[in-house]
Order: sequence, then C-alpha cells, then structure tokens
Amino acid sequence: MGEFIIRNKGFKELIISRNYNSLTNYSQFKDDGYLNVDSNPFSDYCYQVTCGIWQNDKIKILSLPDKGRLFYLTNPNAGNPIYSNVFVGQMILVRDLTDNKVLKFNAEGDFNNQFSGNYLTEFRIERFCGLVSNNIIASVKLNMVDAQVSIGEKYDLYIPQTCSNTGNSPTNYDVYCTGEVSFSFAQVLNTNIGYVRMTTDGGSPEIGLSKQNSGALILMEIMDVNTDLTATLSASGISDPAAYPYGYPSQPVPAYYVFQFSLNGIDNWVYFSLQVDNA
Amino acid sequence: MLNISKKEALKKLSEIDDVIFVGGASEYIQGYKNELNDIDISITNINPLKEFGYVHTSFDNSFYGLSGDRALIPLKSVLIDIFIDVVKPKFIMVNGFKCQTIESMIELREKTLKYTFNGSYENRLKMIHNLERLKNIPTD
Repeated sequence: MGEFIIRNKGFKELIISRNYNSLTNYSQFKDDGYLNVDSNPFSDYCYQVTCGIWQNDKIKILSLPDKGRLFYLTNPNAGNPIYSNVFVGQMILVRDLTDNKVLKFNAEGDFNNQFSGNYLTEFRIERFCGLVSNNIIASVKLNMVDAQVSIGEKYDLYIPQTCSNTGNSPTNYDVYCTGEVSFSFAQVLNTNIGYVRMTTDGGSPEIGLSKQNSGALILMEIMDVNTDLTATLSASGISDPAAYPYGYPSQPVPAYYVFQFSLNGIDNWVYFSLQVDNA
Repeated sequence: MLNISKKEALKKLSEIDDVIFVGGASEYIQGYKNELNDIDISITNINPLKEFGYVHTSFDNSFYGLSGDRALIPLKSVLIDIFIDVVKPKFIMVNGFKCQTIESMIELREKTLKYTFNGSYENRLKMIHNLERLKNIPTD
C-alpha cells in the first residue's frame, strides 16, 4: 500500500496600501492599485515563481476583490491599452505581470461596483509552474485610503513632456517621452516655514519625485518646506505612428503622493496630497 | 535627482557591487567606443539606485532571454538605462568597472534578432549593424 503524503498548501498575506481619489469618475485607464511595482509584496510573490523555464511561470486568480475591480491588459506592448475584467480561474503569465500595466486594481470599479471612503478589499492568487501548483496561495489585501476623505488639501503639478517617435528610445519601443519640473513645497503650500514628510510613496512607473541634487524621496523623512524637488517623467511605448502623439505613452499614469505638513516638524501633522501628471 | 556629470555617474554606479555595465557603456569603458551616450547597466534589484533619483520602471520584452524588466533614471547629464535581471551577464573587470563581455553582447543580440519580431524596421536594421560592428571588434 502506498504512503499518503498530505501537503498543506502554503498561505501568505500580501498587504498593499494605496491612496486614491474617489471624486475621479470611473475609467478603465485609472490605476489605483499599482499592484506590480518593484519592492511591492505582490511583485515579490510573483517573482518567486521558478519553474526552471521562467516563461511558464503563472499565477491563477482564485477570487476577485469584493470592492473595486481588477483589470487585465489584453494587448501588452501593442498600441493604445485595452482592458478587460479579470475572471476567477484566469491564469496569468508572470512574464506578462512584469509589465506594470497588465494587472491593475481600480478602486472605483465600474458602474455597478463603485466604492468610496477608506476600505479594505481582498483577492486571492496561487502560484503555478505551467499547470503545476507551487502550493502557495496568497491573499492580496488592498488597504485603500480615500484621498478626498483623509486629506485636507489636494494640489496638482504638471510636467510638460516632449516625445520622439524615431525608434530611438532607450528601449526598443518606438516612442519615448520625457519631462522635468523643479519646485519646492514652499511654492505648493505658499509658506516658507514648516516641515513636510511623505507618508505614501505614490510614484507611478512613468512619473516620480526626487530631491534636487539627491535621490528619490524616502518615506517619513522630514524635509524643510523649502527643500527643492524635481518631478520627472520618463515613458516609453509602442504607438501607431498615425496615432502619435495621442497613443501610449502620451497618457502616463499620474503620480499621487500623500504628505504631511507640520510647523515645528514634531507634532500637529496635517495631511495634504500632490498629484503629478503630464501637462 | 543627483546633478552629476556622466563620468561621475559612471564612477558612482561602479561603487554598487550589483551593477554590471552593459551594451554601449561597457564598450566605452573597454575602449571600443569613443562616446558615451546612455549609461546601460544590469542590476538584480533597483533599490540601491534610488540614491540617484526617482527610478522609472518599464517593460520591454524585445531582448530575448532577459526578464523584460527595465528602468530609467533621467539625470540632467545622462540617462541611466537599466536592465533588471536575476541572471547576470558575463563580465570582466576593467579598471574597477564590471563590464559585460563583447561575446555576451553578441550572444544577446543574435538571440534577440532571431527570436524577437516586434519593434520598428529602423530599430532592427540598427541592431543588425550593431551586431556586425561588435563581431568585428578584435578580442583576445
């Protein structure tokens, strides 16, 4: 008689916190989750799949979020993005997930599934090597914080971009767009006295903030309100030349940062947000 | 973002143990090219690069056999063009810089041309010319 081997499936929780703006109307192009970004637990989970032949690595969608909506990019790296709803049982190649835009979470969901306020929502995934389970199931918990509910003031910053479609981009894509704006919190908040710290790193793949003559912003690092910053835009993609400059990547995902301001840098921190988009 | 020259960026990048200079940057350091345009590097994790500025991520599956994970840091003086890959390219040490070997570059470009069919006609032509140029570099 053969020996029974009972294998418990591994289980882990991946918790991702994100801010979103509930006043924004539903759009399939909106991306509140940024599920697959570097150093994010979701990405770490996906990248740990090793089949020997990495092209076979997959994750399977076991359940969908009860609030909000998951979308799937049906035409990665090919012209203007087209999104479809993710379905239970769907197998997604990890190599496709490595594109930030393939799987995304939209807090507003769609017309029949719109949520606002601060909430937690969850979906489950399982790792596969081809058709063979890797025996680890993950619960992806999204802690969605409504910027409009939580934050006192919302500011906007726009980056003028220039694009070329000469096929001479840093990647092998056809179009490369770049842009830069320098500013300080003093200009944004209209005060020269006080301190600021970043509470949510909201940089998107295409748009992000750095300190001038220094590196990227660091979570909870206290900065003088007069600190000079640089917002940069850098995006590449394939676009139908006929559609240029209107096709991807001329509509990059905005960065949505959440900061706190304090007069003395010690207490009485007040939230404000800064959305950075292309002009 | 850091406001440094191309050469300062090269030096600072070389101080990150994980960084290997690839493509045109490797050729420049090895003395096979006179001009340095972008600084192309391979790295397994982008976290150490955040001290240069915000790291923009992207995806480009047109390099056969690589993960397709890419990133860019657009410094004022130079663009740092990043390949994020667990598997490191073959490299040699040149004056303290880890440089992808010419053989490794030829191998990658041959595979890319053989198995990848997206990208523009001009890009493909450029890659063929680049491959021929690499094959004509005399190496030991």
